[in-house]
Amino acid sequence: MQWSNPRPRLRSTPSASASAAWPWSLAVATLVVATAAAVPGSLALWNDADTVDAGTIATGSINAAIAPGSAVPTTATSVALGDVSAMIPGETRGATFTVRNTGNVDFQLLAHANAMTSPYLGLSITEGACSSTPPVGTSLSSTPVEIGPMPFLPSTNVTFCLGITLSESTPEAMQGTLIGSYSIDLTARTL
Amino acid sequence: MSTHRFELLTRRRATMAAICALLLIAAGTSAPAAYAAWTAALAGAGTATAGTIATTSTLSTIDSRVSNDDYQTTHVVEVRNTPPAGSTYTGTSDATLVVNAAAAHPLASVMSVSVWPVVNAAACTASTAPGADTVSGTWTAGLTSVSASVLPNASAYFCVRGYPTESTPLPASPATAAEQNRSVVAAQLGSASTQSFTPAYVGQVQRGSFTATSVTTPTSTLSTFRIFPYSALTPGSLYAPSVHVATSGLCYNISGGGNLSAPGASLIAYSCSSASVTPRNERFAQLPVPGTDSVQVRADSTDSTYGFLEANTAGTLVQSQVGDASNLRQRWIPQVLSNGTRQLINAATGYCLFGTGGSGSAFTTQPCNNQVGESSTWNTAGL
Repeated sequence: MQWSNPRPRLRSTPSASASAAWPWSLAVATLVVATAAAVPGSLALWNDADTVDAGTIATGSINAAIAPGSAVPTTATSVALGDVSAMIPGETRGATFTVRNTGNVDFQLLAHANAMTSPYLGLSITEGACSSTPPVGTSLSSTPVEIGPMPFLPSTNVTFCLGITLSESTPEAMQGTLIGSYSIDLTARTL
Repeated sequence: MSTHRFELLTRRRATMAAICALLLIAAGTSAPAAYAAWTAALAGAGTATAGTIATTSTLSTIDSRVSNDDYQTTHVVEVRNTPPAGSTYTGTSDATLVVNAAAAHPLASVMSVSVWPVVNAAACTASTAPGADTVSGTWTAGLTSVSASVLPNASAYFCVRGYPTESTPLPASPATAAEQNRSVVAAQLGSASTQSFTPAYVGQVQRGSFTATSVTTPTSTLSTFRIFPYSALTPGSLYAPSVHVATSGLCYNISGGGNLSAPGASLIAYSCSSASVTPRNERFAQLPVPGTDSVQVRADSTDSTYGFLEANTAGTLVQSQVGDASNLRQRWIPQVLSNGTRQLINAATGYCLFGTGGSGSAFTTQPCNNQVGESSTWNTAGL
């Protein structure tokens, strides 16, 4: 640690050369002030220095995979959740899928419904595999909602049950017909 | 320093001051660092298809006979909720029953029907009182029951009771007050033939907006049995009725001769008098009871207080009693058969006045069953 003794200030008079250097001095001073303002704490005149061993800086990777049912996902990023048939109004069917954090950083998992082709279909999601009577969990819309653990740790799997519900108001004429397709988008996002 | 140089310096200072200001602003605004989030995207998709719900309706064996003593029919209809194969829905659906006549018929227009849900088939018997949620109307107009909740692959049961429209309030048990069946008699429309119509039952199951229906009809029609048109004789005129039994020539007779002032004498079948003047205990008049389709039958007693035919409480005897028009057992519904003969229906029981046998045998009452002894010919008495 060293103490820098300030040199006595000298009163100078303007000169042509000094006048020419003044704008650059002002800029440097401004940068110093700006930097000081941006750094928390005060810049003390006391300072110290140590030698730090050389190291490496590596970037993290955010990766996720999805698989149907409770299978351990590997690399797939999309999955067919199946064709739900013979639904009646008010009925909720479940489609189980599993998400795995295949990267090496924690992430937050968000879900939203996407590309719903029928107003009579609704989606909801709960954590855990579907039972014979899927519970109605968090409703999904086009607005992403957080699902699963927070944070979603690397090398962990979480199984979800996607509930597909046929509306009570599904018209009589739609008996025995294709209601439409449903889709869920999941986004793994860094914290 | 020249003026030109001084101006140049001034402009440089101004330029640098502007740069510094911009740098300060930039430093200030960028202090909360913005980071672009890293993301990974996943997706899942599928399709959904609606199923078709179904129902079946099953009709219990119905009492399809509408007779003078039992004009009421009670039966149960089962409506089954059959979801599509593969459905996992465990909630209830709404089941209803629509009842009407398969085709218009006068009898259907004078017969009412009541429908109410019951918990199971056993809860619907002829003596079951209608529930609070009973819906009533005529068979011709038809009606829809209240709905009953039914689980998947289970059944709802509806109790159905048909009865003459004039039966008010709805009888809770097999009706025996035959006087109430006058609308049914009126539906004969002068025809002595059997009247009938076919009821129709439509079971409905509704889940959300999905509906399934099934139609069932009984294997037999709802028919009248031994009910004939109402036909009273000239009020107060005297007749000498002869009963049609195996032995011919037997007439109505108040036992004990002419002692009509002694209540309790039985009506018997007895050899018709050959005298030109019919004895008082063999001549009878029909006296209409106002406001009803029934008459009192009175032997020609010298005292008009006596001689009224009344079935005893058990219906096993018919006796001469003091007149009382309010006593149903003393009121009789006269009906005319297709051959012109007549039968008398006791208003209390709906039973036929019945001559049991040979001369001296007592009259009784029994359900009309097309037997000899149930009908008689009413000839004008000799006076």
